[in-house]
Amino acid sequence: MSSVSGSSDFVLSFDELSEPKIRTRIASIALGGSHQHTPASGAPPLIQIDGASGQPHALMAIRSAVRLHVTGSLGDYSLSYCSRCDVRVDGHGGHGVGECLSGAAIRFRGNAGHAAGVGMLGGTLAIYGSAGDRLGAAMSAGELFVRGDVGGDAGVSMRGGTIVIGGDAGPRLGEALGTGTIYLRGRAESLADGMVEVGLRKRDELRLGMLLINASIRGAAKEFRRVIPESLWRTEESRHHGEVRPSWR
Amino acid sequence: MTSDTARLDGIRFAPPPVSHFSRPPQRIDLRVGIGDSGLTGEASAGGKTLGLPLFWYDPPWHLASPERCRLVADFVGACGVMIGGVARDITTAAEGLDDVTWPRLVAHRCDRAGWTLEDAQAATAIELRLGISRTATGGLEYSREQFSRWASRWGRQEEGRPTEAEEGEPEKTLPLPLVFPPEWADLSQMRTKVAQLRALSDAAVLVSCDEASLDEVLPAAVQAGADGLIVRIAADPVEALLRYRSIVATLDGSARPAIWLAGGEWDAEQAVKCFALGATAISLDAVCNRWLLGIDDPEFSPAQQAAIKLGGRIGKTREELLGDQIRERLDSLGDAIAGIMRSLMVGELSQLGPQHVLVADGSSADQRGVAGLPESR
Repeated sequence: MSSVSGSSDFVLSFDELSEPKIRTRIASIALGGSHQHTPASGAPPLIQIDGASGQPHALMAIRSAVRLHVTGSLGDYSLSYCSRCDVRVDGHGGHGVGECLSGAAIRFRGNAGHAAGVGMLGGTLAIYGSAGDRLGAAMSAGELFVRGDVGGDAGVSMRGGTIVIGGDAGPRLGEALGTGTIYLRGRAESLADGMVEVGLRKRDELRLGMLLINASIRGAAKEFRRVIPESLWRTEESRHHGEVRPSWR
Repeated sequence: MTSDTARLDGIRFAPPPVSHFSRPPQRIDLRVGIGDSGLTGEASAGGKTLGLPLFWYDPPWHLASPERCRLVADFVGACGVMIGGVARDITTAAEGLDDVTWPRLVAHRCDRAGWTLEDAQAATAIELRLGISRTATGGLEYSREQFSRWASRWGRQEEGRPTEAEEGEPEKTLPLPLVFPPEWADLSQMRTKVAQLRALSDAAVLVSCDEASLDEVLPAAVQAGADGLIVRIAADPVEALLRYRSIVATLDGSARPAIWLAGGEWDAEQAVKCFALGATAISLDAVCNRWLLGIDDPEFSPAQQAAIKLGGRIGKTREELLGDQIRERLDSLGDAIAGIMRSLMVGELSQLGPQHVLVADGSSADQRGVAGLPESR
């Protein structure tokens, strides 16, 4: 994730514009339809969003290459169906934030409610606080990071993708029917049926290390363990030389 | 008629009044309105309308080729029937279903299976589907074929191992207790979900549930401002319709959400009885599925077969014959429904009510909440 910092190129406020108008204005800015300043660096325009506190289903379906900086906590289903954008939220998120995300990078500096990242199809959702129950439910691709603790049933109905949990997890962690991977640093109250907790392989350490750096999560990859379906683990174990040993020369 | 619909079959149509002269309606309007807030099922200029009070709820698209799916859907949809399905179910064309004009119902499942924003925005109605079935072994109900249709959305799924239903006999599914979307803590959050779907799309929002969950879901759907409720029933709809009537009677204001019945197999008489008991539309899955799966495909005559073998052509193609068959069946069903309504002196579906049906057993009439013999005599 690239950093969203410095002064904003544009400022939009929910106090002055309705939600559809904000979306239209963002699309217009991305297309260069505004006469205001456009960054010379070639980076997507940085748009400050004000007055978003408590807005339910705010900033949905943003599918333009823009950087958004949102101040305040967002309501349920905010930032759903987004792609291509880079969003930083200085606040919390409600239930179902980042629903069906595909290709966007979103960071919440606070906590998130239930089922953050539900149905994710790609992209990155990072929550720097804690998250509620059913984190990443039904996600099929993408990466989901939580720096703190998560509630119960994290990863339920997960079909693919990666969840990284920096703290502890509630009961029934994981989904044995999917192919997703969960990296857990703390303790899980219990695992879902058919899930096992195993150590990291070398390639997992490399991959997780990169993911942690990108998500600005402190800590070493080796502090984490993998939670994967038992069937997947057995498949791995049955391969005599399943470990990929890349040749660095 | 089967014993599964014994209660429905026990209901009779009321005879026309004999105390005064009644002129039959000149025109029978079978259109159904959808998308009006606080639906009554009346066709209105402001909302969208269906040509017939019929819908094809859950076609097994994955069991037919995309070409066959599109062909049958076009024929059925042209008759004014709403069809359930996401674009990837029905076609493999890159442009999806942008060119279709028939009404489409898109399912928003708890696990977002097959769901896309583009589908939602092109739909006539969105079905907020509550509840999910799992196989007897606990797996998801979707088959490998369904997964593969949705594969470009669920890329890794296709490459990885299937979640459920390897080749061979599909596993039986077990309905689970009511399951919400995972972001809900309880049904009160339906309001936010409905608002979100309305913000994303102009489509009507219909909440669906199993018959057993009607008592919980209907009040929540009314509170959430949904346009209606689709109730999945096993066979006899009388119990669900009577519970719907009793729940609606307790609701504040004049809200009377539309109720659509999914499941069962109906003839015209049964359909009109359902409408009289409050249903706005009924599903035609049993009939339409046979067309999709080619079970009732028209056969060529020996002369036609001989001509085809010789490279010639006599009469219509198989596709044209199928189109004729579908049009004829749906038109005759619509005509039969209209005929019964005419005999009841009713010109519009919304005018049908419990006063148009009777039950033979007076004691059960009160329980059923429909006009019984004692009152009608």
